[in-house]
Amino acid sequence: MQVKKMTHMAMYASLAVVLSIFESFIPFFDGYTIPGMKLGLANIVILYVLYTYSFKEAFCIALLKVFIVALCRTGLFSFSFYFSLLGSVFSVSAMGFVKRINIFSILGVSIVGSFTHCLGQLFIAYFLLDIHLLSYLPFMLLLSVPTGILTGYMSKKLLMIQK
Amino acid sequence: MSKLHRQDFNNIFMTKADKILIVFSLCIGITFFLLKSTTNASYADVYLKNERILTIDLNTEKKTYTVKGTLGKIVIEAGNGKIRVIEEKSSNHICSKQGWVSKKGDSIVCLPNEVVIQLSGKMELDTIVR
Amino acid sequence: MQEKINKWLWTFCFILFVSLIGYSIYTTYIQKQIHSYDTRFYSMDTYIYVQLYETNKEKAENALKEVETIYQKYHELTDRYQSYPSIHNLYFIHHNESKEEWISLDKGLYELIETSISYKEKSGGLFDIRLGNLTDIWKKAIQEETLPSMEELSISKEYQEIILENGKIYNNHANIDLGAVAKGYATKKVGEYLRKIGIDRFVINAGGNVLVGNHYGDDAYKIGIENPTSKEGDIFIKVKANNKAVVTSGGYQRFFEIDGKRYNHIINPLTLYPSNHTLSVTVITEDSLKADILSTILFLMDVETGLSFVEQLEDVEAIWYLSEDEQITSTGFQQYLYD
Repeated sequence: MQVKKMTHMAMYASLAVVLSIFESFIPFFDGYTIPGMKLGLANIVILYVLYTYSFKEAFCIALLKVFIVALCRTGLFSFSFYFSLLGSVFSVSAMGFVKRINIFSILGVSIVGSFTHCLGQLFIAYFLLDIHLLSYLPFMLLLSVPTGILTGYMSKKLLMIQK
Repeated sequence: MSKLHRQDFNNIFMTKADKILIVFSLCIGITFFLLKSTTNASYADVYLKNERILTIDLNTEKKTYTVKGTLGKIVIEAGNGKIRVIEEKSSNHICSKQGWVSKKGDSIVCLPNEVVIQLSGKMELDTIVR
Repeated sequence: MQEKINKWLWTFCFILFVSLIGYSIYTTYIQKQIHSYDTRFYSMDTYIYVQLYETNKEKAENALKEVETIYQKYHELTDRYQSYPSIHNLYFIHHNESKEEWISLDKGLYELIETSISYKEKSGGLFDIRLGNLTDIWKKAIQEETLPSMEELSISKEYQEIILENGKIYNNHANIDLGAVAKGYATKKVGEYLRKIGIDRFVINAGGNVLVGNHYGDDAYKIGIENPTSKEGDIFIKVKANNKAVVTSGGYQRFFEIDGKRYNHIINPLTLYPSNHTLSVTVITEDSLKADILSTILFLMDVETGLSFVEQLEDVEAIWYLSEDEQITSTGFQQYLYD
């Protein structure tokens, strides 16, 4: 059982990493056009894990994703690393919390995750760079709705298949 | 494969709360968009990592400035109240594609180069004598 | 249970929505917020930037338009190269074919010439607006990047005396050069105008001439002084002041080099050559015209003389940028230093 879970976890983690690298090749949603603006494809995996396992596993996958992506692309403890680290931690914690409240469906949880991911990056921008990107906030709120719905819908489909 | 909890499936279809969340996110987002400041910026601060390396006066004739980023040099053009990046070394050339920026609070972020150009509302300097 | 939660949620969202709309109405219509209004235009051969802090939008916009006309007015009055219909400007004074013995002058131009003349004595002849010929020769030299001959230069010393009386100037075709002070005077006039109509929170930046009013908060304006050795718009020092004029004179923007020697556009009337004592000098004082005149004088003086000259004057402080490693300040300059 342990081994089985471990392999599954490893699979999910690598899937998250691949999706996260893949999405940086999609124009406009690469996270640089508008800082932090990404489709958040890796969130599909994290949501799926959150729903099939628990918050703890989802959190681990999110962290693993951040570290591995940073290792592959930008280097550990670089600027972008801190950005995605805080974004992911914010996002997965918020999703865990919102799921617990149990009034939102997976779509709602995904939107919240998408938005808090941006929020986390704004925070880190403030602390690391001492710049106020608050003017991006409404923009991010607007964009997190479609991206959140997209990832939420995909995870929902996945879960349905599982069922 | 582990079992899905019964409770998780209660809410697998869109709930009322979801719809409310979506509607209000959009509402708040749009409202703030409409309220967004449209004041023109007059200075741009250029940061490398988190150190301010340059303050550019936007109220002059067009000039170019060269800054050394992490990956290479970044050429910034500024003047007549606006600023843009015209040349930079990065994989996607995002910040040079962004084009002109002129409003207070806007910024151009070249994350691969760790360079941030900020047209801040609360400026560090009110003006520069030259 | 679900029903109840939904009800609460709806109520919550409704309150949020109403308060949001209420807040936006409050900020736009009810609360009189101080906004900043600015304008930038090209006048007096430089980019001029004016920023006001006002609650009344219409008043601010009208004021900004008026500011532009004031600058344009003084630009025309002090123009040495072009005549304008029905304006007695410097070009007219120099080139007119009028038979009249006295030419009537605009009140502002009269005052400006009068004040400038008064500084000739105080500076020991270093500040001399009569030497239009000399300026012309060096202007040509900078354009062509060739040194003028000694002969040419000595001819330029033949100038007409300026005689002023009752708002009129004696028509002896004097070649007056107010290039060093026109911007300072116009800026002073703009400051006076803004204060007169009740706007005392402003920042004016007219190419080397900065004039600030009261701060929009309860702080002081932070003003950077450009580093003459860097081409990147870099600053070497920051000062903090309210209701002060900060004016820089520097030879680092317009100059040419021959045999490694720099020739800039600020000419010493005693030696007939550009002054090279310092790269730039910045003066802080209340009056923008005074600051402009003094910065020119200090640029022409050698640093020690200039330092003792400044120390004699009340409420005038200065900083000299000699080189990257050497900057000299007058004793009272410390009070303006920021961070």
